[in-house]
Amino acid sequence: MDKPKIQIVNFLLESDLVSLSSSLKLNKNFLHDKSISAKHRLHPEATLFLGWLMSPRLVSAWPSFAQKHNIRLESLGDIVVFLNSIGGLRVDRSWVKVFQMTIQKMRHGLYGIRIPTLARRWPSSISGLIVAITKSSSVLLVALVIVDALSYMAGFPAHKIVSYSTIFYLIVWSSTFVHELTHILIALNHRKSYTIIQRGLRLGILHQSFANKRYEVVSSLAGPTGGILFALIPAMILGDILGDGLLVAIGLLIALFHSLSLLPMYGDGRLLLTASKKELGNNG
Amino acid sequence: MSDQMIVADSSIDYQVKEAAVIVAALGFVLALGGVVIAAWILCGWRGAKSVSVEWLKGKATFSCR
Repeated sequence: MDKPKIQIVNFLLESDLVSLSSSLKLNKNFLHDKSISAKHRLHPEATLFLGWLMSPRLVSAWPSFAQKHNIRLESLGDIVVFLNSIGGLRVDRSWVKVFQMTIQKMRHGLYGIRIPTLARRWPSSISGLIVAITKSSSVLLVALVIVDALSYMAGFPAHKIVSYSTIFYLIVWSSTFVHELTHILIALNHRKSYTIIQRGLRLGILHQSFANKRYEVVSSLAGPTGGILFALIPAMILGDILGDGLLVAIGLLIALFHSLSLLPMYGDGRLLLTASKKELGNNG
Repeated sequence: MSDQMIVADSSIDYQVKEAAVIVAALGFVLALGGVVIAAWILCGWRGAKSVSVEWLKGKATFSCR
């Protein structure tokens, strides 16, 4: 009789190799998040599990660990759900399994079940930011290649399509780099440690809070502003040199995408709203 | 200690400064893909010449060879 498959959480596969992110450290019964100086209190069972997870472990080995230490599987699930919410897991998964999970997400999506996306942290450095942006924009690049191929098959001029797509991707990539780098430089200027968190297509900077909420407002505004300027200026220069208004339109479009970050629903906009309310509350 | 596995540090705000750019860009590319597929269906294999869009009227005109 086959061993029944036990799925601890639906966003991890049995073949995944999971460990704790390097910016998280265990100290007695506390989990230290060095990136924002947070100290989360741990249940003794959580301390035991996270101590074990300091080294990469196959998810398929978790049930036997839980059984050996008399820990409920649901408890392990609660721990990893929390860790994933703060980008605290490091998951190694093959490309085949990434594709398998993508299909699984789509199938579950059809039933209205949303499988959370894996979040991961990247090294707090320029190279870490470069890798994070490249990874998060990889799906965009694949989509562009497919649309280019479809455009060729439809009969549109291939050389034009490829050149516009390349310019589009390069401006998206570089303006996102400037957007996030602006947040990082402001944090570093105030001696705040930071970390880069990538969750699928979404990319963000997590850093210690500023004591003065005014700096939070400045930082939340400065990132999108940097992105908008870096989307517009190169596109306008290129458009002027080549005499092509469509390039300017591409720059304007990407600048618009950056301004969406200022909407109050999430990201920069939500932080801006929160910080502005606190600042007004302090002044009032 | 309660049954909670992890008690999060309440003094810390885990709000991330996120950029929506790549999500929005992907949405745009997918919409463009839809237009291209429409051109392929209407004009056939390598049959499309150009497409023009009148945003205010919500009208797209496909020119076939």
